[in-house]
Amino acid sequence: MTDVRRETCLWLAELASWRAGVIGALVKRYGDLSTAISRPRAELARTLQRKRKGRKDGDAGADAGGRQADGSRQAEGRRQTESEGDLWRAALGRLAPSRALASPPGALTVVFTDAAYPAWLRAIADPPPALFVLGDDDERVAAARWRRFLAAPRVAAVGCRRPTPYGLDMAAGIGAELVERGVVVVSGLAFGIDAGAHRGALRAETTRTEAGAEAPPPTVAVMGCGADVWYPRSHHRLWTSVRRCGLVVSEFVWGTPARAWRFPARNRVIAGLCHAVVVVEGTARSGALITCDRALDGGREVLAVPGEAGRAVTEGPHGLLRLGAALCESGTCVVDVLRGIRREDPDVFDPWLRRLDGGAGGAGGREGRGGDESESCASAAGDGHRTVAASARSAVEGECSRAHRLVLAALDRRPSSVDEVVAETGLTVAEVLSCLATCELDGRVAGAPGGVYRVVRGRGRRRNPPVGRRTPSHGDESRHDVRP
Amino acid sequence: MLGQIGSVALVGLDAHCVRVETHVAAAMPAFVIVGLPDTAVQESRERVRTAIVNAGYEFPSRRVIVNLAPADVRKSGPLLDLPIALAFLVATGQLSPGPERMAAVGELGLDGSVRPVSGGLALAEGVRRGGLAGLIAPAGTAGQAALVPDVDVFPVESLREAAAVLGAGGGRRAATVDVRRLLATAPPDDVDLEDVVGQHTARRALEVAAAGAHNLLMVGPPGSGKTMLARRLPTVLPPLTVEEALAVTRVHGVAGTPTTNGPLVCRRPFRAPHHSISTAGLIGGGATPRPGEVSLAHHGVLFLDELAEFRAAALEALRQPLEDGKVTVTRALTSCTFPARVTLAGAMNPCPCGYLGDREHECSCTPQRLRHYRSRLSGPLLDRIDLRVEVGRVPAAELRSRAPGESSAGVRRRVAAARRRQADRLRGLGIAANSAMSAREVRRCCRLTPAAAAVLDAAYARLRLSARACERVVKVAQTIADLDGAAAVDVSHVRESLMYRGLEPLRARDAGVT
Repeated sequence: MTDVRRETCLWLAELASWRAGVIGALVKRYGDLSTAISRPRAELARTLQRKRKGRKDGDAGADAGGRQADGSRQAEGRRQTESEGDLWRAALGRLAPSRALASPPGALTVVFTDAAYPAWLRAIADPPPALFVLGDDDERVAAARWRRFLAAPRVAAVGCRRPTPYGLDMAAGIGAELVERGVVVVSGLAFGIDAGAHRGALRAETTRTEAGAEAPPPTVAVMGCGADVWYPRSHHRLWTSVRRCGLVVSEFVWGTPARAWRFPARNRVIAGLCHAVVVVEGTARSGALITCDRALDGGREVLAVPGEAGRAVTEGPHGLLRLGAALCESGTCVVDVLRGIRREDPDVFDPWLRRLDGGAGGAGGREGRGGDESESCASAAGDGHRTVAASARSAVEGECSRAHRLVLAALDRRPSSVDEVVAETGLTVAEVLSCLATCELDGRVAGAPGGVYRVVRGRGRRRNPPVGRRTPSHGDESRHDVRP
Repeated sequence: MLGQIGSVALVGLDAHCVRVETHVAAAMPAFVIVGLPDTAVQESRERVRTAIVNAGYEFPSRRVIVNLAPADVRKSGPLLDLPIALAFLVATGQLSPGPERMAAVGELGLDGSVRPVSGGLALAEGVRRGGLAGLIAPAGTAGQAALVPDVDVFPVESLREAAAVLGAGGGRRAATVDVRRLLATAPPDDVDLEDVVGQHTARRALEVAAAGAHNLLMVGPPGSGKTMLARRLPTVLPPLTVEEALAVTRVHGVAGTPTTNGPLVCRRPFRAPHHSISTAGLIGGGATPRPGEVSLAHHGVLFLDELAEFRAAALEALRQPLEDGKVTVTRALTSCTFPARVTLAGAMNPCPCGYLGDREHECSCTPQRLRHYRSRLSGPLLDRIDLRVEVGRVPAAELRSRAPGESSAGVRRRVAAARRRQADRLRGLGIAANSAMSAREVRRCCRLTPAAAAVLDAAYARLRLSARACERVVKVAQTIADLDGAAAVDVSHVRESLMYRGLEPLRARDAGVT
């Protein structure tokens, strides 16, 4: 019996991979997904066919001609020659999951009826019938990580694909801070904020000291294509890093290429998996707001990071704040919000809060140190770096301190170009450049395209972990593309 | 009967002595030129025949054979018109043979007039190398030819005048030129750094680039003044020395570009080719190779606006000249070496739409487009650019204030002083500026204070700089120290230097462009 229902789930997952609205149609007809799963497949097929009648076939982007090269790289030849409409019809007629659904080695498949299926996700209106999960190369590792993932607080960090440098700082900073406190950062591996949050989380993982066997995975990527397809393609290394340390999840069957309609569907999974959603930046039409809508539908907490007034990318979060979203200035705000909802998922939050508040270990100590970072340049640097840098600094401490103060004060008022700092402080270009180099090296100031420098906020300087403590895997990730 | 006279042929920048021999025989009438002539030389038959008739000489119906010796050197261009005509007049007995060591060059007009040819300086040097003493040259070419000592140059306007000079074994000589005086009286530059309002950072970068002959890349939105700044880079470079002026004039003479003061090029060249330029146009080429833009910018500035829009092949071809200071163009029949010691100034937008990082405009580029745009500059080319500076838009208020910046002359003085310090330090190594130092010379010549070395080590470890990038930071820091008049490279010099290129790994990581 369970086997039959498991097969039904996989079959529905396959159908849902090739056409939008499959689950919605079933839920509309049967009330909820679990009822639908218990029905005979022939009946389900009839329902789905009826549902499609009268609608133009292939309106869900199911033509092979428009297929992008992106993402379909790993797809088998069969899928590259057949249109998605054909795949849909084949699956519908077969009344069983295709044999190609056999997982790639090391993969985990969690279906709706499994105990390992997340309860919070099961409760949304149109839950995915199955989730395909990649974690490292070992199914047992993936399963253990999946268990720890579900036992930890989970927060989605979402936002636009073309963020401002400030937005990236915030995403990476909040991501890192959450991981340090044992929260899993969930995002979509897209350009911009998503990638920033993943990277922040991965970097914090490299410095996390208490990372024992029971620590949750730092970050989970929910894909809008098959979990084994890296999209966008240039995020291959990020995908690899997330897979190595965390999990890559998708509701779509292996090898499904990326299509525009799959991303809103993916966003509902992100919202469904998480306890809270943080929106960093996004325009009024941003896909991040879809995630928020779904999160609000499911009764999740929504937090928004404030930005510069009047910018297009701050319209989204500011709109949410106006509607009553919680203000998010750092990871601490997120933790506070999670404290407020501890009763809703006591199995997860109680042990977590006990660790966080009781354990005087890594996270607490780190927090204490965060306070003095604004004064001391050395705290951002690792131990090896500190000794060298400290000796260099002591030699010139007096000379630079006044100029430093002036430059940092000017940048604190607003991000400025070197010329603007020169005009404001009255220092020479050489002096300003010299100060900026020091500050940029120790992470207090960051340069951005256009030659605008800004004071790094939101503990973003953790982006640059100390030398010597990196694990090779993350070294790979952050090293890539150091082109100007 | 046989008539002969010396002449020269240009191959690249080198002039080879050519002997023009003409034989007139009583046979079927014909006019034949042998000895590897190209099309322009073949055409000279018609010009020579008509010019001789129109100048009032006889052109008998005989068989005329012209031989250009040596026969294995390719002769091109119209400069052999005059010697062919003179040799013909001697062969037909209308002119007595002149002195042995006399050469002639010039293009003939149909009316018997003599027109100027390009490359006067190179031609006269060829005459001197070939052991000849005199050169009959068109009046327009004679000025440049007279820059070469030891060669008597006789300017002529027409075939009759040339015949008279040859017959008399001499005539009115071109005035000898004092190169030093010409350089001293050169007209001032028509642009000046004081025209630039604001742009403190870019000015500083310009000064450092000039002081160490470093290549420079300016990145900024459209209309921020990148071209204006680059145009003023030659004005802050130290004035041309005599040798440099002659080298520049040689190249420009062969290419036929106009000069600045009489026959001499007195200003540092500034070349700004359009980005559609071909590889041959940029580094030189053609069946008989001609110097390209990189050679025309010798001892000056090669400005490539919209650097990312240039053809990849053309930019890659720049690598050798930027490294060696010369470029060798090899074709099927010839191989020529042109000088190409240039300061490269590149300019580009930060992204395809131009507004990345701009406060007033939103950038509309997708990450993919941005990545593609940046990947158009190859690593090896970027490795040869020591300085990178962001050029921002100048605020309107500052533009209106019209407070003039420092003039070129002031900057030039500091640059010259820095260059002198470099010359002292690098004496005996055969290089003139910091940018040309090799890794070994950097180790040997650049002295860092212990604190500066510590800063550099920390940055090296922190940014995981490549050895080459580290070397670049030291070179630029050395130039900044030279500008400062410091004996050793100090902390502030290293830090400023890091800001020009060194922190790139950090920023690439920050930008999240992957």
